Amino acid sequence: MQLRRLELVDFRNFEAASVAFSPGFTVLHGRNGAGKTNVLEALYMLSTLRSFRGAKLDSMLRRGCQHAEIRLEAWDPGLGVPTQLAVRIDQSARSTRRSARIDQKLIRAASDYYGRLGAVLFTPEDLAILRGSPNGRRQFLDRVLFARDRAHIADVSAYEKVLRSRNRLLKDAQGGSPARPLLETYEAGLVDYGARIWLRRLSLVRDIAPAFRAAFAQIHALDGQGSTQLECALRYHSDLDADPSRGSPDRPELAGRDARTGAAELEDKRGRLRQALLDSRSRDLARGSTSVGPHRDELEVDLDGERAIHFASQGQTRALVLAFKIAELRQSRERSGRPPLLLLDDVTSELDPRRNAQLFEALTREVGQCVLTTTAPDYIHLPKAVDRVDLPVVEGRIGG
Amino acid sequence: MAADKDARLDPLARLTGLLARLPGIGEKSALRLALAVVRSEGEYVEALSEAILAVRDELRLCELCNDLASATRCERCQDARRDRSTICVIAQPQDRMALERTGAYRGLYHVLHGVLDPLAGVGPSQLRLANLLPRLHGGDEPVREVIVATSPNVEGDATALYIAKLLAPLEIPVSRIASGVAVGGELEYADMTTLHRALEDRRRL
Repeated sequence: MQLRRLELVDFRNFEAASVAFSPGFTVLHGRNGAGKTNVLEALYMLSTLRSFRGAKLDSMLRRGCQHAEIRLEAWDPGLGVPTQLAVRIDQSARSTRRSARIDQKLIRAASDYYGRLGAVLFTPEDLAILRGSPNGRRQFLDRVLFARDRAHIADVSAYEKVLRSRNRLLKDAQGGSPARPLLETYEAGLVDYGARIWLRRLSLVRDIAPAFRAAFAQIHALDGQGSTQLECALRYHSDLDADPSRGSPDRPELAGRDARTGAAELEDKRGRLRQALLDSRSRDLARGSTSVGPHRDELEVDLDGERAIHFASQGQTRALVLAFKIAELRQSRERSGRPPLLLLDDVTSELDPRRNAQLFEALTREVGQCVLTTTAPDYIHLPKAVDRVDLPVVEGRIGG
Repeated sequence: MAADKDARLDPLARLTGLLARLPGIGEKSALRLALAVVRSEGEYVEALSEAILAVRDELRLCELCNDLASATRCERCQDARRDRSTICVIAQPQDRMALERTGAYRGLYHVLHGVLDPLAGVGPSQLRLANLLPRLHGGDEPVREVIVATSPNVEGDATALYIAKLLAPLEIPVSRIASGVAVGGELEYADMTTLHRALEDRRRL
């Protein structure tokens, strides 16, 4: 999808604004609070129907307004025609709803809409993922999976509900023990949903691990430290894989897309999860919560054989997260055959100019179109050949 | 006195307020219904108020299946033509009504009046399960199958599985209604989760 023109009506601080995009890089610049990130949020809404800031629909309406609209004119290279995507937010006395249209046609099921505009987002908050909570890293993986496997959303929400149900039973038991059939009932649900979640996350990490390693080596070399080769590795860790008595650990050669292997692997995960839940029952009763399952798994990043969470410098952290994003971009391009849209929010703030130039040189090789925000457009050094449009954002107005 | 004050409340506002407490009825619908009652002719209003009192005074739960009944036992449990060897477990009386409309089921029912949901404080003891087990060994005719017809969501699935575990020692086959692609619908329009489940629950032809 080639972005051409975005129109915002009563969205955030924009009463009526429009953006004409460059086929290459569109640089939105302005002081903090001018609304640059709101433009990225609008594009992300068009991609995923939700805000990357976790904002409620109401908060995206301009103050005092009950309706907002985001409209995008784009070029559909698959069909060779112009196309229009639109998301409306309507507030009524009872609730606030969003509706999506493709070429003026209302799309009722959100799942029919997803995937129309593929986008990869990189915000300063992403840098905190690597050092933040394990839960943040799991959510990070799940968000990538939501875009590529729609069944994952349903599985994750069902798993969370079953997990909370089992935890409630454990807590309510108060020293006693809840009826076994009741516990088994919820454990069966955890096995069903949990094994699928586990396997999908594991496959994602396996899929992007090679591209991640390559991208990191590239960025690291650009950082001017290429002489000391740093080995990095991306791994999905589950405690249930670590026990050697329960069979071999995950072998990369199992990563093939052979359906029979997939089914066998799913059955293997189900078996491990079932056994682990059974084994941990008395411990779980004592602590009043479930101690095993994909809600305890970890996305691990190693740097030279050590856990990057404890050991990576600020610059290395940035390089690792960026490598993950680039791997995600490559993966998305391989799956859809087209480079996705890259949304960069304020990533240049903490970089020196030389690193900055190198970063953009690396990025231009990966993406077709990029929309980015910055307070200092002079810091964005793009190769001469790249088409670039600079647009100032001032108090609800975009461009001249 | 308070009672006197209540009696002097605008009758239309009172009826509207009472109707609006019913599920699915908002203020506007309640007012429209109340005005329809005001304008109604003949003996409609008497019949309506009698009917409302009658559902309160005469309806009770069937001693066998917990369905709504106007006698100790409901119509279906009294009906000698029904197949007493099959029991269909459902969450609510309206599920029985839906199944009856199909005309495809001739067995008996068992109404739980809820589904398992620990997060909402609903455990097995909040469901009307206690009188299910006696029905399975007692009775003049042996029960050969229990069909669990709860909705295909987290709560309905858990309820079905729990009943299956509860009945496992009795060695009576417990089955679950199928879920999947809607009949008359197009496969391509089915959502992913439904299709996934339809594939899992496939059957041999």
